[in-house]
This record gives sequence, C-alpha cells and structure tokens, in this order.
Amino acid sequence: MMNKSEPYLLEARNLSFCINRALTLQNVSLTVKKQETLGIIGPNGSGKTTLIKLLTGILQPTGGSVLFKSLPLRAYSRKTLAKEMALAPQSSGTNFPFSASQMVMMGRYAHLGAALFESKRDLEIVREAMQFTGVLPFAERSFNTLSGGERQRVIIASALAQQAQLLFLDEPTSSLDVKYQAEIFETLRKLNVQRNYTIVIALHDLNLAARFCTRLLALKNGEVAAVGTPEQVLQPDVLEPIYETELEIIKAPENGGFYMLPKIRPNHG
Amino acid sequence: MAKPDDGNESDRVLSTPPFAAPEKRRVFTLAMFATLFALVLLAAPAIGPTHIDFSKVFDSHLPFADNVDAQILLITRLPRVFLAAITGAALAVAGLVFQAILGNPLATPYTLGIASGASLGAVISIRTGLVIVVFGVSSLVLSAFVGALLVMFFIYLLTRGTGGLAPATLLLAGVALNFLATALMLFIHFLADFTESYQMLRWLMGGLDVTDYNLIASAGVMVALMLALMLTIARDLNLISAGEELAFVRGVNVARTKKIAYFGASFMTAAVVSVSGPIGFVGLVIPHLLRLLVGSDNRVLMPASILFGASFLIICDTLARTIMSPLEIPAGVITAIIGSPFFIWLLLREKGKIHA
Repeated sequence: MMNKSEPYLLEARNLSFCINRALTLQNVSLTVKKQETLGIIGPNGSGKTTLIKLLTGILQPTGGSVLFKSLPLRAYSRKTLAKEMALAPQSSGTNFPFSASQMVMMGRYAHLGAALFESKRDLEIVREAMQFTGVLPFAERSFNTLSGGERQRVIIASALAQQAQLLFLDEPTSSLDVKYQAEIFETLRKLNVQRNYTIVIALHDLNLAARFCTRLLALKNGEVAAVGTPEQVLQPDVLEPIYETELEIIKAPENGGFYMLPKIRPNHG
Repeated sequence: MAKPDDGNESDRVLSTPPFAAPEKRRVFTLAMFATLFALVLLAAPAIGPTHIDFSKVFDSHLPFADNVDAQILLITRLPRVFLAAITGAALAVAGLVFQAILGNPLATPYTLGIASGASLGAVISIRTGLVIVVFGVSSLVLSAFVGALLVMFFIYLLTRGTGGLAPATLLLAGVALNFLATALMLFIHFLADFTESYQMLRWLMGGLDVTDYNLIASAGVMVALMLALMLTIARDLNLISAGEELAFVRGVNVARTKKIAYFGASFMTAAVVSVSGPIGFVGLVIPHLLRLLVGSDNRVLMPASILFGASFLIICDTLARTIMSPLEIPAGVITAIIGSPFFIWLLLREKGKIHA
C-alpha cells in the first residue's frame, strides 16, 4: 500500500487518547501526502483539536503512533521538528504584554541556533510574514489588546515565520470577518501552490472545507467517520448521521461547486 | 489582497521599531541600568550616619586598627552594600522566572513557599539554640537554607506525577506547602521564650546587617552561577510565558526549560533568603516596573532586573540605615512600604483592564 518512492509526509496509526479514563479519540489512522490540503471536520467535541495536538506532538497518544517522514515524532529533536511543522492553534493568550511583532518573532526560535537575538534576515522574514497576513500596521501593539481575528492573524504570521513546510491550523478563521477569511485562505492557497506547503486544517465550516481542501476527514465521537474527497464526503447520507441533523445541498452553477446548509424553514416559507 | 500594504507603508514600518536598529535600543537600555547600578554602588557606601573621610580611608600610614573611617567602610558598610546587591538581583530574577513558569505576572519568589521553608528552618535553629558552624557558616543560615531546599524538593515530588511542573499543579502544591511551613513556623514561634521570640521576629523582618564576608561571598557565588544559568534560558522563557503549547511547537524543550527555571530560581531564592531573611516585594515590584519600562522580552528584561534589582535594594537599605539613625529599620520593612502601594496600584490597574 505504501509507495516506496514517495512515502507519506505524516502518518498516524491507530491513535487513541484517554483523558481521565474517558476515551476522547479512538483508533484514528490517517495519512498526509506532501503538498496536499487535508481538512479535519466534525461536530463540536468530536476530537478535532485533540487530533491536531497528537499530530504535532503536544499530546502523547495513549495508544498508536505518529510518524513524520516514516520516523516517530520522538526520533526528532524539538528544534528539528519545529523547522518541519508549525501550528496555528485555535486560541492563544498570554498574561504578559508581548507586542504583536514579538509574538511573530518567537516563530524564529528554532532557526536562531546559538544566536541570542534575531539577525537582520530574521527580522526581514518576520516583517514579510506580518505583511502576508496584514498585521504590520499593529506590529508594536500589545498582543493582548488585539481583537480575536487580529490575534489569529498574528499567530498565523508567527507560524509562517517558522518556515515549516507542514502547517497545522486549528479553526484559523472561526473569529474572522469574511474579508479576512478570504485573505487567510488566499494566503494558505498561495503557500500551498507556490511554496509547496502541506496543510492540515481543522474546520467546522463545511463550505470553506469543501472549497479549500483536496481531502476531508470527518470525525464523530473521536472516531473516523468518513475520509475522501470533498465530493465523496459532503453527501447528505454521509454527513447527516455524523451531524445528526438534516442537510440541504445547493449546487453552485457558476463553478460546479456546492453549498451545504442545515435544513431550516425559510423565514417567508 | 494578501499584501494590503503598499511600498510606502512597509518602508515606514521597516524604519520604526521593532524592525529598526533593535540592537541599539537594547544596548542603550542596558547601559542606562548599568550606569545607575555603578552610581548606586559607588554612592551608597559613602552615605550613612557617620561621615567617612575618604582621604583617611586610603591613608596607608594609619594602621587599620586605628583607622575608624576604613573600619566603618570595610566592616560595616561595604558588606551590606554587596549583600543588598546580591539579594536584590537574585530576588528580582527569581520573581521574573517564577512569573514566567507559573504564567502569572503576580507570582513572587516566595509564592511557592521557599521563603516559608527558610523561615521554618531559621525558627527551628533559634528555638533549639544549636550552635554549629560548618565551613564558617552558622547553623541559623544553614538551617534556613536546608528548610528552603526541602520545600523546593517536596513541591517537585508532589508535581512530578501530574504532567511535570504544570502551572496549576505547581501553584497548588506550592501554596499548600507554604501554608504548612508557615503553620509549623508559627507553632514553634508559640513555643519560644521572649528572647527567642524577639530573635525570630527580627529574622522574619529581613535584614542585611551581615558583616561576614565569607558568608556573603558564598551566597554571591551561588547567585552568580544561578543568574548565569537563568540568562541562558531567557529566550526559552519568552516563548513559555507566551503559551506552553505554542512554545512546544516552536521548538522549545518546555519540560527541560521549566525544570532548569524552577530549580535555578528556587536555589537562588534559598541562598539569599537564608542569609538576608525574607525581604519582600523586590521579586514582585522590580520585574513589573521593568516590564513597563523595557517590555516583556526576557533577554533584555532579565539583565535589566539584575542591575535594577541590585540598585533598588541598595537604595532601600541605605534608606533603612539612615532615615531613623541611629535606629536601623529592617530593609524588608522599607521594601514593603514602597512595594505594597505599588502592588495595590497594580491590582487596581488590572481590575480596570477587565472592566474596560
């Protein structure tokens, strides 16, 4: 099954995770190929964030293993891995008044080596990352005083400054305006197409997931409920049992795409 | 769309901090604090109730036994200034480090009960009246040092099984041990007679009236080593205080860094508290004040804390021995009198932020 010439970039085998003896994730296996965009979808509490934390090594699985380039995550040093994979977590806050640019500069940690301070080149990379996500205008503002959406863009900039080719994002657009949703996905698309980034993204918005991802993995109660292309997964008979609600599919005539909406009676109907 | 800034905008941003000449700003900031420290270090020994004639101090014709000016300077004033510098620097950095690993800007070097452990050791030593001198160090200092280290190890053992120095567990274990050590200390204090009780009370007030150069040198070496160790993890502490999970994926060895930070800061605190007693508020006030002045980057904040912590405590101690002379107020009282209103102001400011 595994192609010798092109091994998977990331592979999870039978991941299980227990917290307080309750199983929050059970037998999750998945593969990520280089340059693909994998979307993780599923209802609230289905284990999307836990799965991302296991894949990035923040949490240790109770059972199973995560392989990066065919080797377990533990085989790599923290800094080596940080140059390979980055994460923009769902929410982040700090009790200390770091500025937005300081938060982004922290993304350079693994690249600094023995140097105590960032070089001119590091600053240039940080500046470019901040420009990419449009957060340069408030580079000097305290991170804590920014809005949720602004913070998310700062964190994404920090992940970009890390220059890791495998990017994990946990609900990156959940508190963003439509404008910034578009910009973030435009940015991610550019990274994916122009710079060969591989992207694993947890999303609860099915329409965004369908638009952006080449493959979707749906979780339900900590188990994989469906895997496949957006066309295969976004079917009422697949998703209705996962979300336990009736869904409606609306074809988008302009590009052959489609939208999925929960069935609600229209207000004039 | 992804690049909303035009060329002019990015040029403007590149020419403003933090992207323009950050090295210059750092060097300037630290040079300012170093100058302040040098001035304080030079001025403090000259200030006191008795005027010192410096021409006589360095008069080689006068034997030391007859040279009162040299005696006052070298025996009573200089050791105090050195001890104040060591204690101030250690407490300021220990406060900073505990704030980082507990993720709480209101933490102090004493939050986890290290000072209560030292106090318990000290009152036990005073109550039992044992006079043992090991390597020229008195049993009182040794007992306080051992008390502090025991608390440090107990907390570590308590938190080991639960995910290794997680802020919440660390804080709970520390606060619990703090209460226990304080209760035991009060119990022994209750058993003490009037003379012992007075000695205990004076020890608990904290004071820098130590004239033993050997003791100050031992504390100084320990503190210097620990400060050097803390400076090596300053960058890692930045990332940890901005969020542990984020620090982990950015490449920080979080578990190892926190262990170094915890033991280094605790050891440093134990070393100075066992000599100077629990001098309060330096560990809270200095990191906060400096955060307002130089920002949160520990690579600048930590050396600034060393210099300013040392300067601050030298100034407080100089006030302590001059404002009511010939009476000497314990230095811990002066730092608290300056520190408490600041703490309250800080709390009100935090409260204001929440409602704003």
